[in-house]
Amino acid sequence: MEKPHWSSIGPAAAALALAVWPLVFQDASLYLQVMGMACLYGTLALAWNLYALSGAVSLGHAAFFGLGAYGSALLSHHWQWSTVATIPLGALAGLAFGILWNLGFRRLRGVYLGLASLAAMEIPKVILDNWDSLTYGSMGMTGLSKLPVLTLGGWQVDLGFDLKAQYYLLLALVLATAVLLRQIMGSRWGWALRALRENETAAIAIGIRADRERARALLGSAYLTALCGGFYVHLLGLVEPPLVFNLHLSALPLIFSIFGGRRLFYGPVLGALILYPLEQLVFQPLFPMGHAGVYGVVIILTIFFFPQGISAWRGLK
Amino acid sequence: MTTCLKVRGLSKHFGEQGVLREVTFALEEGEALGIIGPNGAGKTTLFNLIAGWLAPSGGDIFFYGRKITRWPPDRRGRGGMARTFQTPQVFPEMTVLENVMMGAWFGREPHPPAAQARDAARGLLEVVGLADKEAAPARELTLMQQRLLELARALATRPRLLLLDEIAAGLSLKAVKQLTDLMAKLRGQGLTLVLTDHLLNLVVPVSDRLLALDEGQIIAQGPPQTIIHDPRVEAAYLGTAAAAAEEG
Repeated sequence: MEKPHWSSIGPAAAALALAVWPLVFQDASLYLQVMGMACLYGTLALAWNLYALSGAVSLGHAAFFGLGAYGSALLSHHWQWSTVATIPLGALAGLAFGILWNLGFRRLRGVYLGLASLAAMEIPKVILDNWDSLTYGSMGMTGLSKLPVLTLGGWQVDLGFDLKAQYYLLLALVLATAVLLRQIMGSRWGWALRALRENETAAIAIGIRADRERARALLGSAYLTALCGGFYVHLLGLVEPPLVFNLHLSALPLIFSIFGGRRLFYGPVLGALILYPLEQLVFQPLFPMGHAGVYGVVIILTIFFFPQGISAWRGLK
Repeated sequence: MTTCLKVRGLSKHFGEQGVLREVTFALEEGEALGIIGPNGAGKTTLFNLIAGWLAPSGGDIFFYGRKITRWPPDRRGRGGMARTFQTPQVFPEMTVLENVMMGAWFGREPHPPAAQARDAARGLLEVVGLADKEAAPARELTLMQQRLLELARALATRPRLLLLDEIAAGLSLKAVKQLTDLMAKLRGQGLTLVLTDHLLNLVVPVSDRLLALDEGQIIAQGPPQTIIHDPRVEAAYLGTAAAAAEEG
């Protein structure tokens, strides 16, 4: 297929800058924390966009996030497994919900899918909120095991408490996911998803299996989102239903993707890396009560002035 | 001779309403069949049953001897059936070239690698006369150009049967003439065709045989010149025209 019209130099330079700055600036723990979370949200946005590539706009991805979070937290709490195992295994809960989602919602499009997905988040939330014997209900769980200490040839990295190590872990996660999305978007499957997004009728007429390709995108998206949930709760060391089954977590990837641009593989990450630090470092100190409102303003301005997202800037003449 | 398509006792009801009743016909490889009839005769329903966009209430469809009655439309696409739509269905944000490549890259199995799909697409853009629009997004094309693009994409799937639904609708006489010439050229390459048309200006010169529908039934079939002068066909068309005149 045609090569996409972007050069890899910009994204590669940005990745390098993200890798190098902590080595230059010492004692930057606040920035490490914020940028680390921005990377996690960037991964979340990429995961959301994988499903959106097929034309589906989900408002319920917090369901996958929360199930991945609880999946890992429960395995870790009840069986004391290492988080190295519980995060990828716990994320299977998100995948399982993706299968149910697909059974229930595969005929829905547009606004109907959005509304159904919004409601879908409530189902796992209510169950986990009330299953006290397993989940401690709305009390949640604290003291969850932190991420482990990695030993690489005599060199120790404490992912549980070293903020710099955590930052690099999350940076690696977002970069790997971005590369994955880039490969997908250039592949035959990526073009099938694009065809479905642009004109499902035409896509079916040329033989594209609409339901199957969209379901694959959903399941990939669900699993990646659930992985993010797992990382999130073990970084924090606690979980409770409203923390992870949170509308905010469904809305953020959409906001970051729309702001950054959904058509380029790095668009959603770009959105997360710009908006999240902006909100945390600039708007929160200025407007402690209404800082999250910045997202509303940003989305309105983006839709008015950059309907394709800011990564499409160069294309404007 | 090989039979490409066989339709046996095909019926379609929407609720109480019978739209198509016991339609039976066959199509040989390399043949072009025109389905004609006044508005509401069941042309589009028959067309959509063949292409798989509607499920029949009764009867069977065979494609090169295989029963495909229950195949969904995408499977028919991969099996070698390509179709166009009354309202052209293109990928609006993709370029003209990418639109046609999609046909080659998906479409009938086995699928060629990307480079080969691109070459095939370029060749087909030459054939339909859109080569100079290659890099334009499909949404910028005119109706006629979108029809040609859709046709090129359908051809790119390397179809064993091409289904064209009202391909002349809404076009100027000059554009219809251009399409007719293009069809003649494609027919020369052995393409098997089913066309619907409620005006007769494209379907008559292009088809080997016409199948006239009225009220969901075949009322006549045979060579175009015979059929358009068939009294039953004239009555069906005139009957509609007369009814319309009365209402108007």
